Amino acid sequence: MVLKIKTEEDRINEDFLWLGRNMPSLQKDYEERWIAIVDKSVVGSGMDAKEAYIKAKQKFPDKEPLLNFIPKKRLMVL
Amino acid sequence: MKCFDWNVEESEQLGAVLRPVAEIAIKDTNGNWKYISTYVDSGADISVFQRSFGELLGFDIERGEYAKFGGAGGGEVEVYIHKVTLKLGEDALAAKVAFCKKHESKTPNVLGRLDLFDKFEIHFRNLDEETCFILTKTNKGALNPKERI
Repeated sequence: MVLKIKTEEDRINEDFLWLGRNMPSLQKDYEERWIAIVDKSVVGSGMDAKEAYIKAKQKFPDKEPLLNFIPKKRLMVL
Repeated sequence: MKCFDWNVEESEQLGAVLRPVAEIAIKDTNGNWKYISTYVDSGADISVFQRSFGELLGFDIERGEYAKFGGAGGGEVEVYIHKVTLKLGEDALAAKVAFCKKHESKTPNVLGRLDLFDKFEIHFRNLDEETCFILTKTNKGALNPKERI
């Protein structure tokens, strides 16, 4: 049996997938806010990236969070 | 090759919409990666991020090159352009990106064409609901092999 050690990149990839699959519910709770995700849950949020990041690092100092800004629920033409 | 599933997101007018997204990292001024989810926007000339993300990276935003961008809605966004080291999958490269001038700007964070679309072949695979990035053979503009992750 070969055991594969999960790297930080693996974890962040999983968090990215989790984010994509949970966007509709996250849009309801965090519209126009930044969120920070660690281990498939929102561990920090705020009006700017720094606030969300700092809250996440306070809870998980050894892990890098995945950051995301959740825009308004309107059509997007960029 | 690195592929990212599209997001299903809610819009008030159309209900559920699929949007192409990608997870990238940018090196902060201490040499550490900060990870962020972005929209992939082939219509954007350059990648754009909110100011607070640039500040989190440690950049002095106003020291970048000032520019104004026009959007599809006709409005203008003031930005400062900085050169960063950006990581997508296992590939790191130098890229110019823009950070919004205004703190209150709520523009979505987008991955645009400058320094990215000439280094990756980007496939918007709408039927498979994913976007795939393939480093081009020419490797134009990519950092030296030591910088590859």
